[in-house]
Amino acid sequence: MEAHIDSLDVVKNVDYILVAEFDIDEGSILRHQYPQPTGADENHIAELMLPDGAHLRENDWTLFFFNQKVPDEDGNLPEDAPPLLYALSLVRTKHDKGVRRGAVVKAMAVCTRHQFLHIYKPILLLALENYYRTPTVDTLAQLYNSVNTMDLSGMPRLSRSERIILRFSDDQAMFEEKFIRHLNQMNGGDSANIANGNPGSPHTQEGVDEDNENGRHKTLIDLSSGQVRVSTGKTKDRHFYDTQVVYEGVKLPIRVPMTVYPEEIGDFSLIQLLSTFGSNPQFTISSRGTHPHLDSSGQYTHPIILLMNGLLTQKRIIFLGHNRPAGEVSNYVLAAVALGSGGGGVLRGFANRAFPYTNLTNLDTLLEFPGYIAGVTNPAFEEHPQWWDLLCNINTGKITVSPTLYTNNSAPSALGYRTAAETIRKSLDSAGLTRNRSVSGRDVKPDKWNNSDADFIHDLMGAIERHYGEIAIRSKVEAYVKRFLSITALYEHDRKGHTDLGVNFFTSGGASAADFGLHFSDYESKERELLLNQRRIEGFIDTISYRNALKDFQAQMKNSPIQGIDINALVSRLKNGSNLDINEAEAIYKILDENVNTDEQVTELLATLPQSQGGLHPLAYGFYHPSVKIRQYTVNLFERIEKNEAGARYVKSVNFFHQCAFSNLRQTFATTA
Amino acid sequence: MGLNISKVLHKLFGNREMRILMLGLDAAGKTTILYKLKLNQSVTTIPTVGFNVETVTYKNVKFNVWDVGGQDKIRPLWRHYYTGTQGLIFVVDSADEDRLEEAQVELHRIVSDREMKDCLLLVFANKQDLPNAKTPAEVTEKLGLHKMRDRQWYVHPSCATTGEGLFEGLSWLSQNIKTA
Repeated sequence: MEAHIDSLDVVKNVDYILVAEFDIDEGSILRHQYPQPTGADENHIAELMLPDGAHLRENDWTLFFFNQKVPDEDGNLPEDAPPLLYALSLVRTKHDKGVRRGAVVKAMAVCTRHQFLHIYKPILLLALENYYRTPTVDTLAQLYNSVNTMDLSGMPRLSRSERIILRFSDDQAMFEEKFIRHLNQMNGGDSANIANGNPGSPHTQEGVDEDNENGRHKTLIDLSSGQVRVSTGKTKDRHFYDTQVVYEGVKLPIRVPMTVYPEEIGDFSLIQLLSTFGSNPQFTISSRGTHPHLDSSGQYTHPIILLMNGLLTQKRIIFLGHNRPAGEVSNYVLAAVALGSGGGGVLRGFANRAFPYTNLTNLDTLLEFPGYIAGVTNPAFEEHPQWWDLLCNINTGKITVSPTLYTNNSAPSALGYRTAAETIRKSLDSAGLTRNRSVSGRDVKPDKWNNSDADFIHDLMGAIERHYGEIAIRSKVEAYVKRFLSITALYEHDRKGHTDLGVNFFTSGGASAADFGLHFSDYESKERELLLNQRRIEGFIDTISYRNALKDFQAQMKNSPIQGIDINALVSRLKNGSNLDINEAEAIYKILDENVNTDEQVTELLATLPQSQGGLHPLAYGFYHPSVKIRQYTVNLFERIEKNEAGARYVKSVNFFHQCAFSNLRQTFATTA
Repeated sequence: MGLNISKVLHKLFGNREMRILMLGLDAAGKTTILYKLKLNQSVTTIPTVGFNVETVTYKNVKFNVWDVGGQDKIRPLWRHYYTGTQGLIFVVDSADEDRLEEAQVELHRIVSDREMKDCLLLVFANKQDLPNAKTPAEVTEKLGLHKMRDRQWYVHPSCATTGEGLFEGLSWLSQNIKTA
């Protein structure tokens, strides 16, 4: 679906408002589009707004996207296509004995560029109710004007590094200064006027509404210094930007999340996805044989790893929730997007092929997308395994691998892994001798090839059991996908002689695992890890997300504040460098000391040291290193970090020992210098 | 002897299943039939958005009945439900003479599909309680069923709201299902 977005326009909060209804004679119909038609197929939109089974429940939500791009024959996406537009639709069925056939089904949608589109849920509830009372285009116009007057101008623009720092910080006041500075700039004219109006009393303080109309938090301008101080009793949580929408005189408070990753859309729950398909001790996978891309640990592959492998190797994935609300099914798809993309922040390209809710009317479009991720409620999909590669049944928690995936045999098998017996079994399977594989949780032994995957699952599911939050769970997935990307770089370097996913900085000759931020205790464990990953890496190479990762890495090398260095790899090496030898440690600290100087560079370094994972702790070990050089580099780094606003908070939150070490060493070096 | 044992086993365990697709023009009464069969009570239905699917057990046969919305625009989707269908229930509003022609066209389009070539056809001449309802014979004529040579078909009068005729229809299906 392609929606026209006028690039000359100022970016609006909401681009379109749509209304669809189920006409008892004609079926689903798109009744209104405001302010103008989106340009996309009206029948399709109407079908997506009125999900299967809408007549069975009072309310339901659906999500779908506009401007999704079909890759060309070589798997490339058009470069300068319009951005994705996200649509959130509310459908309501009202029983009414007075009308023919007893009910009226109507739906209303907002289409926005905001990934955090769930903020529009409350206002849609009100607006659809209004539309039932006044079914005219004026009701759409009123909603459109309301949401587009929502003021986001006070929201500071955070860089990617800043977003990461804030995301993983428990400090509610992180970037407080940035918010206030941003407000100062916006209110610059006002404060000047106030100053002129009170020339004789420089210490007069005037109250200025921080959020223009939102009077709850008073901001005080100290006229002598021109500084704004927020005088609320407690600090605001800077992870969100508080604003409001005024609709029909009702003020609806809105909290905009400040820390969303590019592939995080809506308010999905990754925990729900992982629990449904991963935590049932009696899980079952029905499958026919093993697939080189999917079953990285053979037949003992954990279902979540199977799903992850499917996402990484661009398989077509269906989430089926028969008799469930479309809104619930959508949640699974959005969570799968976050799973494959590494919490939403490592790989790109999943959202472009995600169809949170879709149905048979959209089938032809769906099948044009390689590796689509789609949510459906119609069990007819289950009966057509030629349409998908993996089918995740939400009702049973079971993941099914399509038998056609084996018969097509598109996967490269020349890796010496499949034994002749395996091949024979597979051909028997495809001939119709279904071998249903039942694995109970107790049977899952950590495969000898598979320590890192088993560790990951153990850690992940354990964290869910201990009620860790969404952000913590997503960060574990993020770390896993990051590591997979590093292993891909190492694999390419080792087996193909070259990689564009990493650079080498330690060794003048060939790169080693350390260059990609990895650490292995010995040669065997490295080889084991490569063997474990080899087949899915081969499946990952040349997918859309792989190509995006190449582009992103090269762009990062070129454009980021710290130039020419893979800072992530360097810091990962420090984090898991239990047996760094003195030369390597010295090299790392030296590179950091030489390359992290400006405020922006410090910010980038801090983004690789999230506070929730110990913050500066890994770096602080340098204070105790026998090498005086390393101690000096560490002090230099800490001094620069301290000058950074976020860095100062980092230093303050580092443990007392490190702080003492820092101040002692600082004095020592100051006196000896 | 062996045959008898298997028959006995069949009766004991009765694990026969039959996939039924129920189609027809909008407002013919498909959903009312489905829930009358399922719950044995008359429910007030509203137009189906998409589909309904329910399992109905009758005389030891498990009928998996798919009821798909009948509006003109969504009829092209019917074909996605054909795979594996053993019985088609085509529901006709016998009192709506004006649309019998339209029903005839749709029915012939469905059964001409390759995937439907072996399936049984049961036509419910529904809404027999209405005063101007056509008789099963008239419905048979209007639907051009006599032209269907290579297919087992059966027209049965029904009234979905009271349930009259519905189980007779299912009986015909279960008796004629080809046992694999």
